[in-house]
Amino acid sequence: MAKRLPHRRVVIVGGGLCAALISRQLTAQGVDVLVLERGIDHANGPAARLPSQRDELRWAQRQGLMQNWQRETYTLRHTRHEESLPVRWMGAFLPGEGVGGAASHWNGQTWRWSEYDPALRTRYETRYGKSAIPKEMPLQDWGTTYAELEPYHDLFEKLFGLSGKAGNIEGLIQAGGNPFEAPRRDEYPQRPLEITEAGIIFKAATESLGYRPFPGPAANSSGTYLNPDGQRLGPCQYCGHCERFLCEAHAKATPDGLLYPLLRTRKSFEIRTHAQVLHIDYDRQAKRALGVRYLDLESGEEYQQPADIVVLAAFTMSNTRLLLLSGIGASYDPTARHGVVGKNFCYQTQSGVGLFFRNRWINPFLAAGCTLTAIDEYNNDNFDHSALPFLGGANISAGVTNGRPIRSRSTPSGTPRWGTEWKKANAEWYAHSCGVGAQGSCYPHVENYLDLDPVYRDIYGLPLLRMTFDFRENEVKMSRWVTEKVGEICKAMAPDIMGPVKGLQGPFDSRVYQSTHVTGGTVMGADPRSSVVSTHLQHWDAENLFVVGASVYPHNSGYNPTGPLAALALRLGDDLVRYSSRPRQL
Amino acid sequence: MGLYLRCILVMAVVSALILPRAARSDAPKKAAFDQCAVCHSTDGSNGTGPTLKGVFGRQSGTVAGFRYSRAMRGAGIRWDEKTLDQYLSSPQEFIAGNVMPFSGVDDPTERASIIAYLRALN
Repeated sequence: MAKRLPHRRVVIVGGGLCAALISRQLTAQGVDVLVLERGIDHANGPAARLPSQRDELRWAQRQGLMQNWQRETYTLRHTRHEESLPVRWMGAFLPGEGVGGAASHWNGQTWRWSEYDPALRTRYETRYGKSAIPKEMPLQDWGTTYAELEPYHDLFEKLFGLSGKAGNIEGLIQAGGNPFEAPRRDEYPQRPLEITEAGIIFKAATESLGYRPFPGPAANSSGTYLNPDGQRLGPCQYCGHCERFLCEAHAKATPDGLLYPLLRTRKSFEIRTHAQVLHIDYDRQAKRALGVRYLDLESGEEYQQPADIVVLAAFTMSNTRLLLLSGIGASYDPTARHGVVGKNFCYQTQSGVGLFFRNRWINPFLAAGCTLTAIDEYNNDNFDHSALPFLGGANISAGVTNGRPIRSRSTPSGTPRWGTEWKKANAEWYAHSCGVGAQGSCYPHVENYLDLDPVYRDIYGLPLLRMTFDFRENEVKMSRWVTEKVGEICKAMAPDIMGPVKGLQGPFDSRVYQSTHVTGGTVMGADPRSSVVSTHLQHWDAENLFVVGASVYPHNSGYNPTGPLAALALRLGDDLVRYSSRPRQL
Repeated sequence: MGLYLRCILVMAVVSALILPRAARSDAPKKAAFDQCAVCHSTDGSNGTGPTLKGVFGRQSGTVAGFRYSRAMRGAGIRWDEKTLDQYLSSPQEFIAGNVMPFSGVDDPTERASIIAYLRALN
């Protein structure tokens, strides 16, 4: 029997980046906020202190800061005609667990996305004609615009002290920056990170081919930084232990470093850890969320937490799952093409080519999370698709992120995977290899979706979320084409050995890490028939329920998803201040 | 001069004496210390790094309640202008195996700024 707790004004499910940004806006106006996080606070534990902070086995290989797969996993099938099976150990993407969520252990790559991304369907139809978008690709406009989000992008970048070089300041293209970037009002808050040897080689090669390379925008602090809230970042030490780790130098911008310490000083803010939300209490007649039910993972007690406003900020998968478990909104059914919750599930289309340079010291261990140099000529709709059999594209970049002993074992094709020859190749090539990668868009497909598994359950007895997903024809064709461009760049870099040039193909392999950029499931839009939340992220079937995160994206772009979701979260925070004083359809 | 004006003059002289001259000359030192402030407080509280309040003249690795590395605990150094300068120019060279995640300050003037700021904390 769940114990009923005193009522709260706003309850946010998930103590990650979105919750912190929303709470910042709400508590600045004195609005009462309670955040419920299933994990613990890692701030004073072994992950936050040297030398245990650098334990690659514990944090990177065994996923010490990530979702506990023994408690809850996802089931996977590539098509509807297969039986889904639980993923016993997820290698592909890494949801966070703990205060700060995935943004406490991320690399920090932060983009604003293309100016036209929020109105992508209109863009493609206008440029290539209505029949250019395949019937099985339910691209849809977001209902908002980049111009509306720009002030929030700007605020987020200043809060997180982003390091980079602007490419477009109010319409004026800037040398050294990304000429394709959406117009911004200002330079980046900090200068770019060091270019690295890999970047130097890539920059020279791409410039010789007529491309315009630029430093990847980084939530890794290039210097000492004081943000508008008085929170600090220290200079990045290029330690090569970025993604999957907490930052020892306070240089990685994270919610647990920059937002939660501030929030904890505010009277109207509370965060409860080890609080696993199981269900949203929903009044179907009144079309209102009444609150949430959660389990205290320390005591085993179940609680009913009533609230005036409920916000789901629990990552793509949990946002979608909670709506399905609570029966809010119709579950997407691909046969009838009916229902909205779970549709437009997307991922990221990654490919790359490995390079080996006998006489260049790549030194991969001298790295931050965002030490990469990129070109955008073949991303999204930055190039002409008229004669091409696909839509979308990829950001192409070279750089290093780590040279760690377990993970960094780049050896040329054909090297045996153990023994004397393997050891020799390691010694020969360790300091001399890098890769050129393509991080590609992933557009929605009617057969890629999320729903509840009919068979498998989590440790609390609730149905697991089922992924029906594969990289389909559009992404395979795009990846093949873009990877050929990567190959041309690699040749211009003149390596001694070059790896195979191969685009990404299905089937989707859940063992291989491909970024934590799963998106969709609770998409935003102007039409309730094709979206779960409105353009203000308000649930169509529950006026006081809001959803935020990459789960609201109708498609994934050729960029990391964090930038726009941070902007959306800040804007939602402001919207909730307004909603709190006058509840209504926003 | 009237009583009112005399009072103003006295107050002006007094406040000129009280107002920390340090406000002006401290500015460059504080800016150099900013890179340390991320981890080190000056108010006695420990965070990622031990507080630097009272560091001048202190024995290394002795702030109560802070978990130092073995290297720092056993270094047996008294922090003064000379040892701080050596440490800050290359922390790993000076106390090998310590776990302060900072590679050092190359510029001797910048180091001197930091050290002067630290001395003023006592």
